[in-house]
Amino acid sequence: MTWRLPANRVVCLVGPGDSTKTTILDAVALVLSPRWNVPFSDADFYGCDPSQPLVLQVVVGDLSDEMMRDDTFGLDLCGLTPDGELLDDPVDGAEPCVMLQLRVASDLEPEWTIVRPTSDDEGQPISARKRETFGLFRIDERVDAHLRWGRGSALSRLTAGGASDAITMAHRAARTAVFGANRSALHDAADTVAKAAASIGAAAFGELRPGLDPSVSSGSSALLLHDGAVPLTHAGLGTRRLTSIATQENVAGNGNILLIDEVESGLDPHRLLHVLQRLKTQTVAGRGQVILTTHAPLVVQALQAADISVVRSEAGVTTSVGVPDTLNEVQGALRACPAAVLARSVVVAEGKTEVGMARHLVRVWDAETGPDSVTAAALGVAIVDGVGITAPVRARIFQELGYPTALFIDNDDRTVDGDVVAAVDAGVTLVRWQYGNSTEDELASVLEFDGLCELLDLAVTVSDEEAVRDAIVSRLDKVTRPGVLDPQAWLDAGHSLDEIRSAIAAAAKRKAWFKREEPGQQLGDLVIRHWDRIGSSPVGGNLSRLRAFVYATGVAL
Amino acid sequence: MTTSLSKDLRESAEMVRSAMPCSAELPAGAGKTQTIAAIARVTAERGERALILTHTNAGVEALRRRLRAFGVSTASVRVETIASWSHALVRRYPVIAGLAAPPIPSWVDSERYYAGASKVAASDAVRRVLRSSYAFAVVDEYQDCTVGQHTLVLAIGAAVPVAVFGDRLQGLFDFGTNVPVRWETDVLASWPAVELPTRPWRWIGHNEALGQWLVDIRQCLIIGGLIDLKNAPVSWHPSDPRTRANICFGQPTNLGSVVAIGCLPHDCVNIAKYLNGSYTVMEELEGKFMLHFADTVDGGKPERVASSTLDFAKKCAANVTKTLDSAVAKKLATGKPVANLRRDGAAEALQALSRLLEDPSAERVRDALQIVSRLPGVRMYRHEAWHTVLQALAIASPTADASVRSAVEQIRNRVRVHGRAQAQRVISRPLLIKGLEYDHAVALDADVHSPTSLYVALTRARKTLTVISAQRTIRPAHRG
Repeated sequence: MTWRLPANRVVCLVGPGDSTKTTILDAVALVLSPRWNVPFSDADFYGCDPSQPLVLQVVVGDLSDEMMRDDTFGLDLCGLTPDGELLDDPVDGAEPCVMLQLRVASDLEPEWTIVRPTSDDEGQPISARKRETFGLFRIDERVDAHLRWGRGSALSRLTAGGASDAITMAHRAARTAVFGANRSALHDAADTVAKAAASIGAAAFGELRPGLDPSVSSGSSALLLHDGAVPLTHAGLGTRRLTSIATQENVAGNGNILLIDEVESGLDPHRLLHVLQRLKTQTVAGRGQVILTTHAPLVVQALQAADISVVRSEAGVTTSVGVPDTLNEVQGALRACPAAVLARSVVVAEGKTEVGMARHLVRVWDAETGPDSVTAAALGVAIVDGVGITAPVRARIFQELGYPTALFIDNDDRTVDGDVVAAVDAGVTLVRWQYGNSTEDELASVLEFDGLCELLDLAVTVSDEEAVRDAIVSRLDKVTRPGVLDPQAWLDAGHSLDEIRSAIAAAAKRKAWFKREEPGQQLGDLVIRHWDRIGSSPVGGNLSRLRAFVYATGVAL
Repeated sequence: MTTSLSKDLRESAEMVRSAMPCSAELPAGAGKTQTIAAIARVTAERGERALILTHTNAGVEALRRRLRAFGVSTASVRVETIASWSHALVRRYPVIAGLAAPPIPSWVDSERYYAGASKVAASDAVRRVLRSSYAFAVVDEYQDCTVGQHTLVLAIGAAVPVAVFGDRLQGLFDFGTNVPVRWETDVLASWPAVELPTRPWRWIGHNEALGQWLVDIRQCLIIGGLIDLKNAPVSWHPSDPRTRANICFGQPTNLGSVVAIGCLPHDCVNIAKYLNGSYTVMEELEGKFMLHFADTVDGGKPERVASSTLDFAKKCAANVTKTLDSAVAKKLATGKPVANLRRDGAAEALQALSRLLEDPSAERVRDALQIVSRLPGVRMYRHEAWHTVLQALAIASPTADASVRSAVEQIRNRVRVHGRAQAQRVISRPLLIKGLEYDHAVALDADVHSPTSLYVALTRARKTLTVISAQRTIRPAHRG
């Protein structure tokens, strides 16, 4: 893949699971790694085929003065033009950049070089020491490395003069301790060997005794931070991650490249928000780049839309698209529906009623498809609340960001028609009731008498019987006395079933009986129970299209 | 071992640093190299880096030696010839330079490298590279800069402050078709002069009166006036061939190095021959004399190879003609064997030369030359040329497609980089010995030099200077 990062200090990679977000972090980390060597195996190659060399290239711009020096990268620069073209030389008007390449061929030996974008020249080898100037830090499940004085760790770079003295001294002390230990079974064994050796004439040992092998000395990575007597590796995940991030912040001279996998992991919401805020202010103020991945809606909500890049992987090809800031109202869409960008496909429902209905339907459909088939959740389908008139706009935004999107919307508000057309033009799958109908209208219009009774029962559970009755009866002029809540009485009074349907729908809409998710789900249940009749109606057609959308996206994967 | 900086040097270094951009003109032997090294030292002490450019590899070596002595680490200074630095810039940024240079520089293209490097140094990105890398740049021997090099240094100067060092009176260089920079207009217009205290370091402890006199006559040479040797701390002799030889023979032995300084190449060869091998001729770097012979051997025409081999020996050693006379030469030139000629003690040599008529290979030529050099009474006076050619003949191999010419070029390139072997007594010309130091010098025909050439000739010796000229008052031949 070729990934051009947005011009942002913080880039948050989102996308459904297995969309190779973490692999992107891996690739960046490998190229910029300050380690001398990284072990590779055949499994690291595409399709496990090492005959095709693995080539990773990273172009880094915004170079510090230290990096611009002629003994660092100053004589190995390439250029990036304002319209994104990479040139071999940093000509005037182009930003000076350095292009690093990691190449691993079938011998599995990694080769780091500085290359030029179009040149066939094999490039200049770049030492691990020079790669250190990029200040790459990676915070992931192996976060403990940063709490140790190992090579390339933030802690080591913070330590003037290195850490090996302490290890050497500790090892000497340990040897002394073993020599000075009280007599034990070890000594008995040594004595036995001494006697046996003497009897076959090997040597006459002066004092054969147990001791620690001086050549087996651990590196400085055996040194790690302790809180009192407790090693920090035993602290909570969140604390360890935050401490790591804090440590690298202190090493940042001219800005680091910080990679954080699943930024939310181990952090409660307010700590998470604090970290995000901190990362943004730190990087915006100075240099550096933060690339993070997330599965948390809270992170999507906390960042600017432009900070977010959508990663997808299809048939071995990974793409990453930055959220364009030209996309109007994208900020609101992400804040309102963060789950959408974490999914594979999205159903934008107009309001709570429709969200509830869709959720229930999907639950039933999941069960109907049988235990062996894939559920909507496994397919990564998110059902989000478009919040009324903004729903068509949001559906279009998600579609344009690359998410297959369905818009589930009623048809009684003419002001959104333009937005709906735009959404459909963008490729959104439209699930919309018949012209002029609200959800209440649409359902009432297809229900028979008993179905209408159930609908009223549902209304009663959210309102109360008198209020429901009054709201309907006030819309039926032939009913002179309120009486009880009984549609039969209204028929008897001379109203047609259609008149009663209209009255119920109008009252339901007016009184907002179903404008919450829970009643929405019960409407879904109603639809399922009366599917015999509804299935063949326009309502049924619409809902079947929704069903097809939800499960078809799985096929594409 | 690290020498500490003297107070004088430190002051000079700081003066230049604070005056930058500036130019400093220092007489020969006045410690230009150590002043530049001192600037690098005080710069390194501040944790900054300096870029130092000069013209010759010998100059680079001299600077590096001095920097090591001052304890300046290689990380805090970059010393290069202008040509090699230009080549490096062009190689790294061929698009900006508008020039694709081969990995191994071809020095005949140097002017193109300067032009390309000027564009690279003037680009925004490399200006920033220079600013990030160096506190300033120093260019040495600026009087030897071509206009192309000057353009490059101006481009560097747009990025970092520049200090140029030089001496108009040492403006001696084989410019060929290239235009040299003019101190009065080009240099002073861009870099105002900074006056450094002048101490004739080269003569301190040796001949301080001579050092002072050489400082005193500078102004006179610059304006083209007469140099009166009457009260000068030099020994003067009127010029005639016998005097020249006697003076050269009479130079002190085992009291240091001696240079006899002529004016034109063939004059130097002639007098060396006359001196019968007691002085050796310093060859110019390109080695045209050697290349000419190499081409003949590469040509492989038996009679030409044979006669040229004898001719080469005659031109490198005295007394060859005593045995191998013109009759021998004539026969060889017409392809007739000479092995049957009777010449005392030369039978083996005649055989070896004759053999060339059948087998003119490099190996046989080498054999013949070695045998000729062992003839009785033969005295070598062009050792440098002789050994270069013998070495080249040994390296050359027709099977490996390595010509004698390419072998000579290879050896001369090594000399270009590493310098010549030091000889105790040499005959040379100002152009070749500029920047070198000797204990004793004889300026043969001092009145045929240009003022710059004369100044270089007079400033080579630190102990004794002998001048031979028609008159005791010297009028330099023409403005250089």
